[in-house]
Amino acid sequence: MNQIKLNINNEVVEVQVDPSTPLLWVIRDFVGLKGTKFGCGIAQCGACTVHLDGQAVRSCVLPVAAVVNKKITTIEGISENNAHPVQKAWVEHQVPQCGYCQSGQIMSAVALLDKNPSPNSTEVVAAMQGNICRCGTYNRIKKAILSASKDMSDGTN
Amino acid sequence: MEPIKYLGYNRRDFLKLTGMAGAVFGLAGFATKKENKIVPLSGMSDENVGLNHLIFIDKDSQVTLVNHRPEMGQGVYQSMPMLIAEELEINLKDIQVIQSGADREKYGHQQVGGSSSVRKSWTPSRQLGAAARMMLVQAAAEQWAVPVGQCSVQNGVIRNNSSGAELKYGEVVEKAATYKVPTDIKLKSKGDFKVLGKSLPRLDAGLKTNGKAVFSLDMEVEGMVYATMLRSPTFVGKIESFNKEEVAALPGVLNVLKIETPVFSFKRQAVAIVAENYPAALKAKKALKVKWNNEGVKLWSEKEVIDKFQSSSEVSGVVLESEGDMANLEQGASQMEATYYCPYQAHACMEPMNAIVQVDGDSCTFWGGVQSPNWIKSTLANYLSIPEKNVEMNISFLGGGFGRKAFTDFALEAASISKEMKRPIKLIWTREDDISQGPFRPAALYKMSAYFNKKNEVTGLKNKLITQDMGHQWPGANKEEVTQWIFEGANKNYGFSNFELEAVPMEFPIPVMWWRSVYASTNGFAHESFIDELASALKKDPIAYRKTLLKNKKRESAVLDQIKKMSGWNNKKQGTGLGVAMVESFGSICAQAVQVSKNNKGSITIEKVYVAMDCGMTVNPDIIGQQVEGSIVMGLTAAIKSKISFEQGMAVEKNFDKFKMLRIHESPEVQLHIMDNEEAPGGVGEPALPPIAPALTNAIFDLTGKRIRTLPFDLNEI
Repeated sequence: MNQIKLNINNEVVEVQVDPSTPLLWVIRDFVGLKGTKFGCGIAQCGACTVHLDGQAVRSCVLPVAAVVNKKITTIEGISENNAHPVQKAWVEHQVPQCGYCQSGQIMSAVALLDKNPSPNSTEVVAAMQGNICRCGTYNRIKKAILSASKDMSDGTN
Repeated sequence: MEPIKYLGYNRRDFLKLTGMAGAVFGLAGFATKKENKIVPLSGMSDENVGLNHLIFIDKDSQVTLVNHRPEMGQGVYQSMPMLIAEELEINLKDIQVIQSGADREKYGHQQVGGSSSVRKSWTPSRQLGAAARMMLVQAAAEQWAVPVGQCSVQNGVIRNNSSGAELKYGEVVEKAATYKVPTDIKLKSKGDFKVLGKSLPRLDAGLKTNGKAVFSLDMEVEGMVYATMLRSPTFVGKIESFNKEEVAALPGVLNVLKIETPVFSFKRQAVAIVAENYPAALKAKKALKVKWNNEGVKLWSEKEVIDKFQSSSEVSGVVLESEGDMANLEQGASQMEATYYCPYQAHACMEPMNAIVQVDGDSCTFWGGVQSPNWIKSTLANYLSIPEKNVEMNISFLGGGFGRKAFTDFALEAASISKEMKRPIKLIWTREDDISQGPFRPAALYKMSAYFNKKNEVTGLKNKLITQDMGHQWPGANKEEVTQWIFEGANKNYGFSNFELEAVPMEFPIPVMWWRSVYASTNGFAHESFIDELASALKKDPIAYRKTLLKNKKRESAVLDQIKKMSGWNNKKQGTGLGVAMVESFGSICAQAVQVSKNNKGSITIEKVYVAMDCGMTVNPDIIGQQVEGSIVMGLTAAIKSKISFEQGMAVEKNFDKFKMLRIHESPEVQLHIMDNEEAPGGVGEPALPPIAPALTNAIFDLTGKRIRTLPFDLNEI
């Protein structure tokens, strides 16, 4: 057990935890932010996606010791009230069904648009391939990302 | 924007959960008892006045509707309130929704599955809305001393048409609640709908884009500890020994227990590790060594499984449908046969199985996302030998269900551990547990036969199905009988003068369970492929041939006409193939046409899927769109990606590295047309799944001449 200091959503939190613990469980059960989900535990499904210094990473395979001094962003840090253009587009296109994978989907989408504000459809699909949705919301995810990108560049958001 | 306030359970609410005491009154399909007071549900303010068990209004006219069916993605969190709102005359934007627990007396049927929610609630939920509106209007009319006929209602406001005075629902609700519930209720007809049939945005969409939706995995209760389990990989193997002391000494581990819980008629043995937190339990599991005794257990290989299906096809089964006289077809006739095979499948809900259970003396509390609140409630009561009324069910959102979360095994496991540990247990299955432990969608083998007379006309069709009968798994099951709906989705409307559906139930130790569209998920593939093969053998157009067979079936013919029109059937693009399939299941008719092409590397590309769906009158067309898109992705996954196979009696595929899912780059464009009619509502969550595999393989045949009869197959290897 180590005392570990983390920067999550621009807040510093301290947790008492085994340093080999995957970041996912630290975020969920030690910090108490439940928006990030457990899907597979082997970085295959993307449900646990968070940002590490702005990069989309799979938190289920990342030991917490590896993220000290880095900036962690979770779905709660995107905006609590769906103010982010990507979240707005998600609601507008009625993307979620069961909703369980959507935090991870949105984290991957936000990371993509931060890096590439105007992706084409091929780039969207390439960036989102790591996120599984068993409900099959893929086509709406694609539409939502393209429309969020447009809204962001139009300055309508 | 927060569309609604979610009144589900969070950490704070757990501490004050008291269950849903109080009596209710209602109408057909719901409760029958009438008492004076309806108590608001936990999580609602005491200011709420209940007009029945689904409708609450406070003095400020805030309307709270109870959703009595679990939300697993299918949209009942939206459709159930819409049914009430239509007759209650309220604006959906202004309401709150609260999820109910399990209570047969109050809510009647609550299970979600079989695409039944809207079909079962269509009349009773609207009646409850209408009855509540009538009571509110009566209260206002009495206050104004005018006949109710002089009052009108809109958006929760009652208007006195002669004076122009207005009263909000909240101003008269207390008086309204004292009236007897009217029984003479006239419901609106389709032409008068303001809410139903409209694509109103889902009330849970906002919660599912900011991480605030509470799923089973997100629930916490005071004093809970975590558990993970290592179950018999062969399902029925027995524990010979395990390194209990070594694992129990690991950091955070509280106990290491041998657990045995029922799965249908067998007992599954497992070792449970209970720990202060879940990662500690997972880490300890890596150190756990169990010696399994598989004496007397047949350790199936995949080849043996398939051989067993093949050899069972030689056995006579049970004839479930029979038309004409198959035994005495015209002599000298020719025959055509084809064999199809679909493998086992895992459900792989994105949220792995999990639940919290607290057993405390003769009471039990459950927290989690389940499809069958009352079944799990009664199973827990039976298992613990306690009265059913002592079991309290708290239902969260489900991260997918697909049939898997109707089953009871995981709840009993958590209960068994909690009983031993005397504290609330949060049991979380790993993805490996979830994919390899079942219950699975059963594999199915089909022997299809067609018989021709000398004029080369089809005189008879026979569909022989070899699969596991889910009903045979229960203790004391009558294995002479076959589940009647085992042929769901095998079209009986094609009008062959000699026709037979025969099922050979295979007794196999692999646990199986409903999987989205259940037997229709495989029946549709075999039946619609073979119809296509017949059309081809007769040199007839696949749509025209189906129409001929369907004779006077108007709805089916209209759906086929629609798919023909929208897919450009007669103006096929050069270099593309078009295939069609139509499956009737769960009360709806769904035809799909798939357009494929071949790229220069020889791989097949699915260019587009066209869908014509007749599901009768609709609640929310956009949710139908979601369900159709989702069904196509899940059906395609089973057609071209995933399967469960067995070696050494164990499932080979254990996680998404081997149990492959369709991903975003493989998701085809979907164009949907919903037929406009006034037929009774049909199912929506499942009927669009069965047609996709046969429509795809029929399209590949159209393009390449190659017939695919075994799923899954690789689009790169045609």
